[in-house]
Amino acid sequence: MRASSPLVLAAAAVALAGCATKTPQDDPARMASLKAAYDRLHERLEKAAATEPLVASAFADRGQVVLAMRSGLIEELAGNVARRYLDRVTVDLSDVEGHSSGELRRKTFLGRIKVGEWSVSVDLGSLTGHLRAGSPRVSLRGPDLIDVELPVDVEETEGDATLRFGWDSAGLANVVCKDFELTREIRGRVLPQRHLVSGALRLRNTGESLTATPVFPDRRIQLKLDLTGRSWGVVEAALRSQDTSGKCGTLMDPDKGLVRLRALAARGIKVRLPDSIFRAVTFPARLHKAVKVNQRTVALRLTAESLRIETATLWSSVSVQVQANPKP
Amino acid sequence: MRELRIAAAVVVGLAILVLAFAQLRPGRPPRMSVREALLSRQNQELVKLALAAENGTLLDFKGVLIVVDQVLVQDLIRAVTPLEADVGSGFHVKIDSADTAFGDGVALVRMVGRASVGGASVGSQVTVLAAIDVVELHPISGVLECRVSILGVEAQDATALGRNDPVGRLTETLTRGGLALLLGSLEIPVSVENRLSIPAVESKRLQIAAENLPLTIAVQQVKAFGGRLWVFVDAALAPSSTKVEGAS
Repeated sequence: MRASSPLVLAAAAVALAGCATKTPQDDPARMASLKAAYDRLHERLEKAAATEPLVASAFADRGQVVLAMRSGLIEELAGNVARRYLDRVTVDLSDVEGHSSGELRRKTFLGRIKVGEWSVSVDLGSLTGHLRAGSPRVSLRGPDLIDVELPVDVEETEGDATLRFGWDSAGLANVVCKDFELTREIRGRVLPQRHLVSGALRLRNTGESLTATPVFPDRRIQLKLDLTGRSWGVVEAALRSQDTSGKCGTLMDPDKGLVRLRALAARGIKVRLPDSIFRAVTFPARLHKAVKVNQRTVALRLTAESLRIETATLWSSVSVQVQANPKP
Repeated sequence: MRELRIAAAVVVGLAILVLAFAQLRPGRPPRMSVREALLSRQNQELVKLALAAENGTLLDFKGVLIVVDQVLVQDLIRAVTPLEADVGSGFHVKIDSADTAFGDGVALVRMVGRASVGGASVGSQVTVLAAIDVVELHPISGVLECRVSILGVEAQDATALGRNDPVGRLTETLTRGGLALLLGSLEIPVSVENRLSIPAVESKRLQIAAENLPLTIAVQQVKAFGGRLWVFVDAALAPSSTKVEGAS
C-alpha cells in the first residue's frame, strides 16, 4: 500500500490535470467589455441601416420570405422573353385577306353621277411573313408592369396570292356597261419593313411564383405588300380586257384601277398576331410548398402578401406557415 | 524506501508539468466561454455590417435578394423536433426545442435538450449553439440549403457527461460530424433555377417549341441582421442572350 502511494498520487495528478481542462467559465470583465462593444455596434448598425431605402423596403413587407429582384435583371429577363415572342417567327398568311372598295363618279350632262362600285380583294394564299425581333426597350412601371417596346423586322418573302377585282355598274351606266368580276392567280411579295410592337408584362405574385403575363392589346401590324412585276402585268392585262365597248371601257379607266390597286398594296393589310405567341413566363426564383429538414418533409402553406416596384427593385413577399406532422 | 518516494515525487512533478504545459502552451489563446465566443463573433460581424451600412452597401445587390425571417427557420426546425442521435464518442443527444436569433451578424440557432454518455440513463441538459454559416443553391433543384456549424455547447451538469472536459469533447464531436447526425439538412423553401423557361405553343395553326434561357446563378454572400437572413444571389442571363435597352 505504501509502495503504491506515489503511483496513486501520480494518477490523481494526471486525473486532476484532465479535470483542470473543464468548460471555461465567463470572465465577467471580458464579458462586460464585449457587451459594451456589442451595444455600440448594434446602435451604429441600426442608425446607418435606417437611412438605407432598400432596407426600409425590405422591412416594409409582412411575409416570412421576401424576394427582391433588381430592375436590371428584370429588364434583361423580360426583354429576352419579349424578343423571343416574335423572333424567327413565321406567320402563315394564308387566311389573311385584304379588301378595298369604292365608287366611281363621272360628270355627265345630268351632273356628277355614280356610275358604279369597284371592289378588290387579295387572298394571300401561300404567302408567309418571316419576323425578326430587334433589341427591345424595357422599363419597370409601378405597381406591377414591365413596359416593352419591341422592334420587329419583317423579311421579304414571295408567294402565291389570288386577286379578285369586281365592278358593279350603277344606274344609267348599267345600260352601256356590264358588271364583271376578275380573278387572277398572281405572285405577291411581302416587302421588308419594320414595325414597333408595344405592350407590357403584368407581374403577379401567386405565393409560389412570380409570373409575367403579356398584355399586348394591339397585336395588329400593317403588312405592306406588292406584286411581282409580272403579276402587275397580269392585273393590268385583266383590267384592260374589260376596257371594251359593251363592258366598262368608257367608264372604268384601267389605269386608275391599277393606281387603286397599287395604293392598296402600299397601304398594306392588317395582320393580327396570334395571342398565343405572347406566352406567360414564371421567373426563376420561386417558393416551395415543402422542404426537407433533417431528411423529413415539412409541408408549408404559402400565401402571397405583396408585390410592388420600388427603389428600382421588384419586391414580393409571401407568408409561410409550417404545417404539422412532417413526414419522415 | 527513500528512492521510491523520490521516484513518486518525480512522477507527480512530471504530471504537474504536463498539466502546466497543456494549460499554458505558448501561442494558444486562453479558452473562452461559449457566451464570450459568441459575443466576440457577433461583434466581428457587427463591425462589418455597420461599416457596410455606413457606406451604403448593406444591401448592395444586382440580381436576387432572398430575405428569410428567423421565425420561419425556427418553425422549420421545431417542426422536426425532437431531434435525437448518437452523435459520436459515446454521446447521445436529444434536442427538444430550438429557437433562432438573426439580429446581430450571426444566424444563431439555439437548441436545448439533453445529452448523455455511454448509454447512461442520466445526463445533463445541454444548450447547443450553432450558426447558419453557409447557404448554397442545390446544383439541380436550385433550392436553398443551409449548412449549420457549431459555435459551442453549454451543459447544466457537465460532470454527468464524464470527466476530462466532457463539454469540450461533446463540442468537438458535434463539430466533427455529430451535428449532421442530429440535424442532417435544413432547406429554405426558396429556389432559384438556372434557367428561364418560355413555354411552347401547340395549336393547329401555330407551333413554337419551348425555350430555356440559361442563367448563371450563385449565392454571393449571406448576412444576418434585423431578425432576418439575407441571401444575396447573383443572377444573370448567360452571355449569348440579347442585349436589352433599359429605359430606367
